[in-house]
Amino acid sequence: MRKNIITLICIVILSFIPNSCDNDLTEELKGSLSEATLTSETDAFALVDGCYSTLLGDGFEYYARDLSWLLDGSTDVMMGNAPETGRVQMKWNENEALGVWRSAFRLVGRANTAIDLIEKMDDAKFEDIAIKKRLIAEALFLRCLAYNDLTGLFGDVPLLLEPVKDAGLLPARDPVATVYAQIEADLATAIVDLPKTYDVEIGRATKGAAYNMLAKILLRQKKYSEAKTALDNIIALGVYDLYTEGSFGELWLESRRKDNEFIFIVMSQADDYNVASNHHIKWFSPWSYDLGWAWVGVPKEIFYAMHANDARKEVIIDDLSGAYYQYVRDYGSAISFYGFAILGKYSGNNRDVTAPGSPWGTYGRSKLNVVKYRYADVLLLKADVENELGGGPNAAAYAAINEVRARAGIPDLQAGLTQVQFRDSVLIERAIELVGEGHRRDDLIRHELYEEMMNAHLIATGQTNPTNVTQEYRLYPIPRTELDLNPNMTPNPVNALAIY
Amino acid sequence: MKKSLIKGLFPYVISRNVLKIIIVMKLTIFIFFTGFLSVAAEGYSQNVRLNISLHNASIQELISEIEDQSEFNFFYRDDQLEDIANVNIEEDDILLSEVLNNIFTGINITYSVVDKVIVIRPKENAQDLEITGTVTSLTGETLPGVTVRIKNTRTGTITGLDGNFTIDVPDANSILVFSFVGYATQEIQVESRSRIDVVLELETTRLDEVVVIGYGSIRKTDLTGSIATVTEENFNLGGSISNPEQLIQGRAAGVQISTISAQPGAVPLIRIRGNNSLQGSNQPLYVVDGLPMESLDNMIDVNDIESMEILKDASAAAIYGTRGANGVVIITTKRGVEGQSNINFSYEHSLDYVANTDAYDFLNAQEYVQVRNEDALRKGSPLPFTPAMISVIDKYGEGTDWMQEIFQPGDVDKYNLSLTAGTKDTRVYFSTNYMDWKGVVPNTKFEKFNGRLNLDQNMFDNKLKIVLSSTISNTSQNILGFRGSNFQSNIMRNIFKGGNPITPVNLDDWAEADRDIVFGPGIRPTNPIDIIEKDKLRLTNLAIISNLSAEYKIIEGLSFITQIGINVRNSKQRHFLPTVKGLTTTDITQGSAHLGQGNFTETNIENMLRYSKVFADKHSLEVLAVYSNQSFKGEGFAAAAENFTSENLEWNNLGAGATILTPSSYIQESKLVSLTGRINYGFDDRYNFSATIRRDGSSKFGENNKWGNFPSVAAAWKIHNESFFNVSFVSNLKLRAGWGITGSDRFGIGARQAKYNPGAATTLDSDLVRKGVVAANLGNEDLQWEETRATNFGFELGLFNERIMLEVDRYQKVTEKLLWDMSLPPSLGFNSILANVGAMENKGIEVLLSTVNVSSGNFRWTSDLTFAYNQNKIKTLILPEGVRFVEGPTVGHHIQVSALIEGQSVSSFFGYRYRGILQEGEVDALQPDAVPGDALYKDTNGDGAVNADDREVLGCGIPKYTFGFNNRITYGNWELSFFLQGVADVDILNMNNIVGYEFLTLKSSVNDMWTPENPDGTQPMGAEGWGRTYYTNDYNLESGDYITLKTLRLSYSLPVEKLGLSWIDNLTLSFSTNNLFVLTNYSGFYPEVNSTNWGPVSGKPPSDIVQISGVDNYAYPYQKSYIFGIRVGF
Repeated sequence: MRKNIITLICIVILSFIPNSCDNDLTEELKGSLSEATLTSETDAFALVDGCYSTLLGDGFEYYARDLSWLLDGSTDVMMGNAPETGRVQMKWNENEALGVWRSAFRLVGRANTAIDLIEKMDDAKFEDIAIKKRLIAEALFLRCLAYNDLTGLFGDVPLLLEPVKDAGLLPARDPVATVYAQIEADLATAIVDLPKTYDVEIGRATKGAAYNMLAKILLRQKKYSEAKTALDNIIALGVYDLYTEGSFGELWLESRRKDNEFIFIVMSQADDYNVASNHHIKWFSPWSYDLGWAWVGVPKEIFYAMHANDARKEVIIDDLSGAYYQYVRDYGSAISFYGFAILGKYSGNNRDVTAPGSPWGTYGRSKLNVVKYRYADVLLLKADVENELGGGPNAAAYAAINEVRARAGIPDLQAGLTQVQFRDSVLIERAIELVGEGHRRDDLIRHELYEEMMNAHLIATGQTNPTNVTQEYRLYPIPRTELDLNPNMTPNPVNALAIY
Repeated sequence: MKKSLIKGLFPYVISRNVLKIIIVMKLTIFIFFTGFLSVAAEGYSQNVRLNISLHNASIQELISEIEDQSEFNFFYRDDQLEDIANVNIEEDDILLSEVLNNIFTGINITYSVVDKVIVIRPKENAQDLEITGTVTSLTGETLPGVTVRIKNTRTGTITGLDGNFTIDVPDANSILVFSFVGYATQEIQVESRSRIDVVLELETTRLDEVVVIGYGSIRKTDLTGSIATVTEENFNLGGSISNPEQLIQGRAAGVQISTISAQPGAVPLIRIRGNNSLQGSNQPLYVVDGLPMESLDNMIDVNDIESMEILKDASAAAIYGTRGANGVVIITTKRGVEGQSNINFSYEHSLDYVANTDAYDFLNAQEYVQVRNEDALRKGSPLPFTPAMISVIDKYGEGTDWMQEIFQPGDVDKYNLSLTAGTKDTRVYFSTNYMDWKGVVPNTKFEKFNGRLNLDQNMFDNKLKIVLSSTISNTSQNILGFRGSNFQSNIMRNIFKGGNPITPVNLDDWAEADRDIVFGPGIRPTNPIDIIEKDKLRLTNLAIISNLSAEYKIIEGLSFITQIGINVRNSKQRHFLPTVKGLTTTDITQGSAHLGQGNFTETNIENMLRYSKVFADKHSLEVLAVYSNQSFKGEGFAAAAENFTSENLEWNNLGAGATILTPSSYIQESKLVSLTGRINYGFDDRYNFSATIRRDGSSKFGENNKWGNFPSVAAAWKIHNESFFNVSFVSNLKLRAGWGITGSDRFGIGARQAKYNPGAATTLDSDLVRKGVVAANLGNEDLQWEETRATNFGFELGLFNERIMLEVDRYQKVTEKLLWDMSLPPSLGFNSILANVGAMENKGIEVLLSTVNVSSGNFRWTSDLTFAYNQNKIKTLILPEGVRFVEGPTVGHHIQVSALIEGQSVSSFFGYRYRGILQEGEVDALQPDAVPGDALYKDTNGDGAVNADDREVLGCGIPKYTFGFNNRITYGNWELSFFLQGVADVDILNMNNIVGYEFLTLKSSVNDMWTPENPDGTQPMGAEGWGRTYYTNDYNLESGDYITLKTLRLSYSLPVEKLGLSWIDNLTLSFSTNNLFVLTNYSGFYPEVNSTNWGPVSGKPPSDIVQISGVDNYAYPYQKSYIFGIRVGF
């Protein structure tokens, strides 16, 4: 008995000794990955795919909706009648551009992580070293894309080239010229390593896309001759042409996504409401028109500027016969009903794959792509650049703009225009052709026409408060959230003009 | 001669004066109120001593003498006294009982004592059996003055000086009831005996009750910490009570229990001494029969619970270390008792009705048409209703009042069958419970099955005790969305926002031509209640909890206890929504079915050594050491599909869906290792000291903070046991003080590590989804638990042998290292990092007053009053320079309602101050853009403009004062109890009202709206008049103070013997009501309401509730219940 007791006491004492130290308390995560596990070619692909996944934000932010607001929404090619029209009236609050700011920096961070980890990966892990280089080039392209968007909206921004590891290191702004130099250098690398085309995954970055972005960055700096080279390089690739196999409106159908007019598009997939779906692009059609979500459209001035037979009226629509509700259909004209024309490029009517004929069922989901770069833009930029370089339009300039006009079924541009006349014609052509695609803002700022055109637009459309769009409005406010949390950040002059 | 005056009027004579007569008449009629007038009457009545010197005196003279010397009155008929011979008594200091017994022995007259009235009456009949006996105490002393009564009658006597009694009983089935102050009442059936000797045991007072504390139990009198105890007899009863917390709502001071959702099966919200955490859980830790659990989740049936103890202060809860900061709820279930063998069955049926259907007044069809058209006119948009449409609408009358259409009477059926049996070595408790609860909204229901087996086995001559506690529960819940964030699946949203009185309940009631005119050709509009039957969401839970412990007594006073517990849960969620034309969006897409499943396993292994001994009769010592090792494992997956071959399949065959939606799964594990020690020392029953220390190590904590220490100390001083303290009526006077540190580790597993999320979806060809890898968060190796330091001072006062018991506690606690997702600058690419920052304070007072108002014979009235005050304050928040607050989570359609501000309470409503409506012809200097009909707000910061900077704290959604008042009155076989409960100093934002106004569905849209024709209107003009950013303003905020009659219950125990049902032990019928009335100024259904945006609809309460309490946004309506119950024991 006594022996039993002693044994028992021993067991008890043993049981009190904790199972030695902290080894037991190691936390193992089975459902997530860590830096140490990301080493293979598959992982490299996944890291780059992770960058692409950032482009649609959470379904609202960045290319899914917000960017179009910030770009065309602050110009004379978009207006609306919703409470959000404050943005069109330049009634901004300090966090107006927070969504894009956040998403773009998220993309910068993810691209930096991808570049860092892929560079560290053993070359032998890749079937072909070209794949490793291409993936790094894709990540570089995406980082440039983020900085392209950030510099266009905010000017000087922090240039981050390494993954963020420490929450305490708060970034400060770098001069926009430094950022442009970095973009140009990165794109130069990317152009070498990116392929011309992909067989299937056409949403990936290509040489053409990199050249196109380079041209845009150069144009912002008014480096016209270098921009011309970049544009000519795109054309010389021989990959792209205008879509002429069907009508202009058909280009915007879901089923035409693989057309070689597109140079870079943000793709979406419609199986699941929450997964890689860009349903919020439906921002562009009013609810009562095709059960889109929003209330924005194209100002009547643009519609009236169009040729009577312009094929692009298929996507800039006054006719309400396609409206969902009878009382709207009865109304006839969108311009008189909404005060603007419907922009049909991203409308539910284009859903010929996901939900032909029905706005219900797959409501809110589509395979409609968000177009970043397409060949019509390249041609019109070429016309613009030739006109600027030559002190007036040359034959190449006319050829470029008329190729676009011909596709729209309208007559060639009148010959013998002065440089200014031709410039204006190109701008009008670009406004009509590229409405809703986010080019107008850069165009007007590049030609120093932004303030003049915006004030005219606000007065013409009765959006009179405030009317004095000054140079400060060329940049968006640095988001208040960033300013509050980051003492190293400085505001833009427009921050002081922002409403609350 | 006053007596003779009365004799003529009334055959009964009562001595003394007229005033007394009237009093006594009243007493006779309302006999049970007598006790109310005299506290401690029973003690008085039986121990009166008299000095009597009478020679050959008549019985009437003796009576006068007794009445003069005591407070007794006699009640008799003159003729009854005629046969009594005159008496000779010469005694000093003789007991009244002895005098009476002497007189009434051997004659046909007897007496009984009813409080202070002695009733003289003839013996019932000749067949009466005369029973004699002696009453003694356990120590063998004879007990004089003991009341001996025949049960269910008023016949009785009292024992004489020698403890002897004589009483006549009608038959052998009579039961004698022996009662005496300070001793436990005993009942004995006469059977064939003529002599019955009785030994009375000392009554255990409340001070001697044993209270369960962490890892053991202690006499209440030796407690040093603040612990609330609620036992079965004080539990709330009612049809829809399904959660243990509801049993004690209002019963324990400082334990605030409220409703998150009133829907069937929803879990309540419990807060012990306020909120400690901003974003972690504020729920307490539960310990059920020794097994710690994070949540109860309907796993423990209320019928099985014997007592609940709430460890409120840090000195009591520190023994649970990193999990004790929110307090600990200890639940003890019923067990078998030696020598008892019972079968109990109970059934309850409850009828439930929406508490206040008239809370909201909706527009009828004509008013709706008019308001809509006027609104369109103002906006310059086309009129939605043409004259042709209006004439059709008018044809069908006032239209539909959806509030009348959606609700149904709910009902609850509850069955409980339990069996207890016990021998010396083996004791068993077995029960099975079933509950079926149909909600007041169609298609909401809750069903629960629960079984329990508790087994106690003693072995080796009581050296080894084996204790098993096990339960299995299976629940099924049909719910609809009732969160602010739910879209069309929320029926309340459909009514307040989209409720349209024009649409008929049944479309076919309208001629097709009429439908075409009003709704459009071929269009069949959906109506608000369509979705109720179509959207199907069911949650099921299967749980098994088993805890086995063995205690081995090594030597006297020293035991080793080992315990192995496991808690396994499987929960499933099924959701299906058919294709509904016209329905645009819900929580899931149309024609899709979703299945989800989770498995959770918690194991707990504990080894304990306990030593307890009393030295030299004065020093009592208990030493405890515990080593415990817990592990938690969760695993789950979800899958979904759509485009089904047939939607009749609902969720039953995902394989029939043509499109597969993204599946998901997860797995997570964590470990908690603890070492715990405690010393309890008591000296001379005067001083008690207690000290505990717990050392916790957790896998969740950062590498730099793996282990934490949680000490506590406490002391108590029992002044009433001091020799210098000599106030006889004070039975308890005790002071307590305690201090301790507790923690809260309620953050997600893996939260501290830098992780890469492998599920970032994209597509690069528009057909296939690719999953990318992205950095998910920045790691934080410093991450640790929230730490609460608390002090507690308390005093206890007991008067008249605990007939009046007062307990007051004052506490202060500060929680530091608050877990907080600290916002990062967006330029870093991450939203936030989980860190330990900031501090929060809770201060308060708690009062418990328990009284036995009346205890007289078979009449007893007891009351318990609880009162608590708690003030929460955010002490520090880490905010960027120049930022004065953090906005709380949004509610409903992205409405900001609250903010976290230093110096303010959590759940502070944060918004604008209403100033009025801009009248025609006026221009407002502060709001120059305002047009007539716009709401004006105060420029609170005086900067000359009205903007977001003018928002300020408007109120608080968490009540500062809570109270409960419980009364229990028993009289014979009847029992009446009522329980009042209330809160004060709380505000509610009724978003239903605002939304109904904004969407022009409520009458307020007509009555209160400012228009040029209605310049006195107080609400801004037009739909969206408030503008969503301005929703939160003091015009819309209401007081949520209330007092409710939570429970009113009347029960009757049938006299089973009399009815000849001797095979039944007891049979009780009861009728009760819940929430019968509520006194409040609140305009919604019921003031006990909370809505959250994203939290779960069942299971654990959502953590965002701490920041947005007091919002009423499409919540499930509260119910009023009428309950019939029957309980029978064999």
